[in-house]
This record gives sequence, structure tokens and C-alpha cells, in this order.
Amino acid sequence: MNSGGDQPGTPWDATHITEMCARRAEWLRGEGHSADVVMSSRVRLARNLDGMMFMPKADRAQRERVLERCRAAILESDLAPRMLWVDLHETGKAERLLLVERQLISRSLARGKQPGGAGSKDEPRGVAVGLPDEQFSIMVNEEDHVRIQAMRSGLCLAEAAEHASAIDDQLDRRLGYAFNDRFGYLTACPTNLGTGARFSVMLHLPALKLTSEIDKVKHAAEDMGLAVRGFYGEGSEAFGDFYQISNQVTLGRSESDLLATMQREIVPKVVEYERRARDVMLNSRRRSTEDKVFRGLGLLRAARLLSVEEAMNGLSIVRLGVQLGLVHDVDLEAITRLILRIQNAHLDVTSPGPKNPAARSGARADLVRRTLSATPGE
Amino acid sequence: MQETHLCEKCAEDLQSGNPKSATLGEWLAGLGMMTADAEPFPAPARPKRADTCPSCGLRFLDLKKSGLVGCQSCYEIFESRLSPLLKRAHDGGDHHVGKSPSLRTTRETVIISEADDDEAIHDDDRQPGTVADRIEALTHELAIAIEAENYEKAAMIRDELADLTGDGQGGLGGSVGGADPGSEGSGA
Repeated sequence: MNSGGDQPGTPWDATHITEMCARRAEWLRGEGHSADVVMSSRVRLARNLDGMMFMPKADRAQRERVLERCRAAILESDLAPRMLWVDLHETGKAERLLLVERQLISRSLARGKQPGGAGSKDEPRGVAVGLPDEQFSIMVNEEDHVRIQAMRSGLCLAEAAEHASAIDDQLDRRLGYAFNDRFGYLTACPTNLGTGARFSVMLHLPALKLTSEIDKVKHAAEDMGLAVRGFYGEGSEAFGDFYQISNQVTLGRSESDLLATMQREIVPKVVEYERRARDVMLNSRRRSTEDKVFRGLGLLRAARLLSVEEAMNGLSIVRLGVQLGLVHDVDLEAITRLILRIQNAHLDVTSPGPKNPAARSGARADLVRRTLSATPGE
Repeated sequence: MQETHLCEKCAEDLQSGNPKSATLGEWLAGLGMMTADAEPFPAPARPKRADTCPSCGLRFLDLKKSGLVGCQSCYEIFESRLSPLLKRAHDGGDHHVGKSPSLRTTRETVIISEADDDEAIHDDDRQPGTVADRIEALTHELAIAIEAENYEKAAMIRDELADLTGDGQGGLGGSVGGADPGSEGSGA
């Protein structure tokens, strides 16, 4: 058997992949509070099993045992209408990349690289995904034994936190976590110690970028002890002006305290800055803003070859144009869908033909052109 | 001048500057024979800190290099050395505040015990500090429920808190069952 499924023993197959690709991922639903700026909210909890070697020192047999225990605990729990389980060590590269693009697993879990660089794609590891809405996933044998993440569209950290915590409670009853009174939940990396909780939001900040204010925001966020990352988290580029902001402190502050700071103070401030910058672009720099937006739209509607970066940058500026009321004939939802569908693995799964960079660029341009082929606005 | 009595071998080591004299210094210090003017003996070494975790074999050096621990015991073994690093990484924080797995276990135990009158757990059977811990945990859960605008859950938690702090009228089961959805919005 190649991999797990949404019923224990059911293989994760082409049906699941097709079904998954036909749906919008929860974090790209484009709805919710402050959705003009906040694409999605995510809460991640890092946990390790009591009495088991942590990943940096666990040998293969121990990792297999952790995987087996977690798999059983997850599938026995009543966490979602349907649970998809994927044994990543028995899954092909394209499928693993698809899960990365849907933000259900991290890049390092997809690669199977252990902390410190050891390991390979054969490392025993897996992921559980709550279906049908993909509002949560549980990574097993990443840097920590268990990483629970709950996602919501828009600024909705509290609901995501509640969901992650409820999953956490169920798994804790079955697995028993490593914990001590002083340091809280014990994690492989001391920077996750304590709550093990990471509250993050993905923000679309094109106006702050175009008005050259983005560095100020980044520095201010870093001064407040926040991490600012790119589209795919740690080490990734801010494609299309999408940024992830998350807390770095996890020890000495409670979950509710961290959550309230992010949800009520930090994110609303950044949203306000971005909206103000959008006003400036619309009112004081209208002609140059229109030029940028329609050049971007023109490129997407005309190009015969598009890289991921070009497509993301184009979609970003067109999204801004729609939200500023400059572009009337492009559906915001179509843009949101494209953000995911133009990624390499999604293209490979949904487009016939050869799977190489040149073929993908062509398929990507075709897809974008077809989707945005309405009459040009203005 | 301090007079020190040494065996022949130790005296030889001392005169020859043999590195073993450091061990000798420690030994003397341990016996309370070392004084401030007892040069040329080296100053007594500080209590030796563990360099390696006996549970997983991780050296502190490896931890510094990779930034990762090997097992849960590493946190106890390297606690004193980790403390300043943790404070730097966590903006001064070096003690956990927030959710805890044992609290939930306790809470479940109490709920089960109250659902079954015949097998109620007496106060004597509970861990010391249980009620205070539960109150803290519930307070965190309440804040999250309110933030999530889950007023039904917030009302349940608030009822439970009221029972614990002596403000409530009924038992836990009665409070949960009696939560009135119509009144949730105004108070939460």
C-alpha cells in the first residue's frame, strides 16, 4: 500500500488529489474579518510524546513507533467528518509538494529532512488532514513528534486557536505529552518551549510595498518580537507581497495573552497601515497606481509563458486593483483560486502534458489567461 | 601562611606543577581546607555541570550548535545553562504560563466523578493545588472562548469557574446542563 487514506487502510490516491485540487483551501477562501488584507490565520501547536526520544535523537525504530502511536490516536479521535491520513515516506514527490502548496505540511516534512540536515525522503512521517474543508492538519515526526495546525480564512486567530486546542486535548488523552511545570510543553527547539504555540497571519501588503513602507512595518514587527516570513513560511520569499507574521515568544506568556496581542493589537495596526497606504495610492497617485494595476492585468491576460513569481506578482497587483475598485471585470475569488492553482504541483496534477519547467510555464500562462479572459476593464 | 599536610605523591605533584594539582585543589576545597591565601593551589572549581545528557547522550555543545535538544531530560540536565538563552529568546520569559495537560486530566477526573455520585472523588484524593490550577486553566479557556465569540462555551466555563470560586449555586453537571443560550450574548 502506497499511503494511508481518509479511512484507515484506504489508500490516498488520485481521487483524493483530484478532489482536493477542485476545492479551495480554507486559508484561501478569501472571506472573514479584514479579508481585504488578512488572507488567513493559523495557529500551530508543537508537542512531543512523554518518554519518547525527541526527533534529533530518535532512531528509525523509535520514529516508526511514534508515527504508529500518533496515527492510531489521530484516527481513533473524532476530529473531522472525514480524516485523510498520508504516510509521507510512501508518497511521491509531486503529492508531497501538493500538500506543501496547500500549506498542510511544511517543506521540511515534505523532504523528510531531520533537524540538523540528516534524514531522507524515506524517514517515517505522516500527516492527517481534516476533510472536507482542510481547516486543520496534524504533522507527525516533523521537528517535533506532533504539530497541530488549525487554519481559518481572514483574521480569525481565536477560532483557529480554539480548534487547535480542542484537537490538542483529544490527542493528549490518547498520547500523553512531554511537559514540565517550569518549561511547559517540551519541544525539540527551545524557541518553541512553553505554550508551543505559534499564532500567525498571512497578510497581503501590496500598497505598503509600493509606497516603500514595508520595511518600516517589518522592522516594527521584528522590534515587537514578531517573525516576518514569506509566502511559504520560514526561509521563503514574499512572493506577490504576501507576508506571514507570527509570534516568536512562546515561554512566559499564555496562549490567550499571545492571541489577544496578535488579534487585537498587532494585526489591526498593520491592516490599518495597509489600508491607509491604499488610500494614498488611490487618491494621491491614482494614475501611476492604475498604470501598475493594468500593466499587471495585461501581462496576465497576454503572456504565453509565466513563472510562479511573475504570476504571483501579477495576481497580487490585480487583487489590489479589484479591491481599490479600479478593475471591475475580474472576480476576487478567481484570483484567490489562481494563487493556488498556478503553483507547480497543482499544475502538474491538473494539467496534462509533460512536467518540466518550460511546460509548466506554458500551462500556467494558459490557465491564467483562460481564467482572466473577460473583457479588459476601463 | 597556611600550613598544609600532604602525602608524598601529592607534594610531588604540587611541586612539579602536575595538572593533577587542580583535582587536589578541588579535593582540599571539598574538605574545607582551602583558604583564600592558600596559593599556589588553584581556586576551587564550581560544582561540575553536566556536559552530556545521560538519557539521550546529547552534549551541551551539540545543543548549542544545532539549537535542538535530544529528549525531555535535556531540559532538566541543562536547565541552568539554558536559562539565560531562554530569557533572550523569549523576551525575558523563563517560566511557562498557560495551558497544561495535567490540569485537563484533573478536570476530566472531576467531571467524571460528579457524573457518578457513587464514585465521587474526595478532596483528599486530589493533587495539592488542583483547584487553583483548574481556575487558572479555565480562565485561559474562557478568554479564548470569548475571543472566538463562542458564547455557549464561555457560559459553560464561566459557570464552572463560579462553582470553583464559590459563586455558583449548583453542581458542575447542573450548570453545564442549565446553560441558557438566550442569556449567553449579554454577559460574555
